[in-house]
Amino acid sequence: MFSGAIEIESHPCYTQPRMSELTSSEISHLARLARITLSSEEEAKFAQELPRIVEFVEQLQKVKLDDDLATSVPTPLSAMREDVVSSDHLTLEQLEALAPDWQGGQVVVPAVFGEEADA
Amino acid sequence: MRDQFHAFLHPELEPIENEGDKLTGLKVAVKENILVKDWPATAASKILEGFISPYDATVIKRLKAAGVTLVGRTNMDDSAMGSSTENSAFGVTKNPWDTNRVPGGSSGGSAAAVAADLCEVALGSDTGGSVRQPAAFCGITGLKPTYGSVSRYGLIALASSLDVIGPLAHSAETVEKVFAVISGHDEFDQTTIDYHYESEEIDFSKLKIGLPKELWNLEIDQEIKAATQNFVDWLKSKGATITDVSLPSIAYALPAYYIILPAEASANLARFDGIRYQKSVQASKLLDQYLATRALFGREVKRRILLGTFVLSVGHYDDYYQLAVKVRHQVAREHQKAFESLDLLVSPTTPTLPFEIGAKAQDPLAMYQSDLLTVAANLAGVPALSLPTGFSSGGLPIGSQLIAAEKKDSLLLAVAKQYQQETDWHTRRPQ
Repeated sequence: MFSGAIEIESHPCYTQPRMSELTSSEISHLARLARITLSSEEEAKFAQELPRIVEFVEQLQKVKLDDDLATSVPTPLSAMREDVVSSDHLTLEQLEALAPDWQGGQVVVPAVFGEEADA
Repeated sequence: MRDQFHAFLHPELEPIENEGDKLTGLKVAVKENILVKDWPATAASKILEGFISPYDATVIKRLKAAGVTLVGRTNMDDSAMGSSTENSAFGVTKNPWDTNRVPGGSSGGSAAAVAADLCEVALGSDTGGSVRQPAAFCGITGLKPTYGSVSRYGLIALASSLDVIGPLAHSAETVEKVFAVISGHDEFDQTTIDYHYESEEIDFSKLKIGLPKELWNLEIDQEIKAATQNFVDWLKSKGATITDVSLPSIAYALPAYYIILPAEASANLARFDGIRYQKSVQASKLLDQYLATRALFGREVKRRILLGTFVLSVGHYDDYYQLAVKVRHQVAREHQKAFESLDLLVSPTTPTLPFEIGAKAQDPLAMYQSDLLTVAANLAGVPALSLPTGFSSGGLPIGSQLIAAEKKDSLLLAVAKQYQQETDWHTRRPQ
């Protein structure tokens, strides 16, 4: 659906196993995935900093791990709750105050589909 | 009172007084990422400039019902990412003990406000040390409660499996009073546990205390180590048994944290899209609106979002994120095991004394090292507290850390309260 999805599969970022070789273009690709704009100064800085940070976290590969560790995050979630209708909710007036662009009870967004859209 | 330390944001706000009897009139400052109805909540980030909270966080509801006076909103690192408050989009907070130095972060404004007596208590949030480290840097007491014991409803999420709201004050006694009110299960936060705080009396002669050697062997300022050793000696003099203990995976807690945190943050911050939270850089195309609005994130925030995007992406997920989660499980397991035979772990809170403003700002990795001693408790979900245990020869505050098993927040507070009855570090004030 989005042209970006096809970009992902063939991008060199995914055939290279190590971020330590991360180039400026790979960083700007990550930025696009994360929907962030980087200034050229930020791109240059991150090209220096990010590989060092990733090198730092790569030391995890040296850890001796137990065999039976789960891979889902261990948050002690509460037991299931009943479906109880809550009367606590935001009013349309409150939502209108927060939405940057509002019309007739709805949040206005730029076009998602069609010629106007660009994913 | 004049806020010469820039501890507070939005100085035009009038205090909110409330009716209630548990904490009547207690002056409470609130970190800028905890929502108070009709007050701004920017998380010290340009991307939330102009956002006015439509509701109260659960902790605020509970404090209001207890009769506190909310005095204002405290400065922090942008989106709670940082260890110095230098990443705030609205100016750095100065450490009241030495205004050339940082108050710590990300709850630096909260810690400075308490240290300077601009409030009696402040709320902060702790994801990797962001309550404890500024508490240590500002010579006050700060609690990171058991994960799930305090509702995160109304806390702007950073890393949902790590974030905990915690109180900061001069004394553990005051921290305890506030914690008792804000803690407890909340139907609006499904990660809260069944928790009812009760103060406890302790018999020091039965207390078994461990010193994790992987923390003590790190590169730590000598004066900080000495002060913490004095604290350990005090515990021994009260009859506690002190032993060395090894939690080997703690040595890898920091790298694991700096994979898990960016991963969760990149997901949580995806909601700031210029559509829903007031601030928006409008564009005719949706993608451009996202890109232009999200350019407003601070530099450290962007850095961590990129890191998170990377570790979660195809081809890297197993080698980074999945591995970090396993390490996290191991860290939690080692804590559980240690607490089978021990009641408390003790270590210094920070590896360095409060550093000068600007000293680490250009080196992200150096800044991350500030969290060396604190992140493991967040990964394990266990409660940890920092209390003042001395001062450097240059007059800078030193804090030491107590860590207990899940739900044993009362033990941390009991030990701290007793220590503060017999010492006066926590009563000192900056000149």
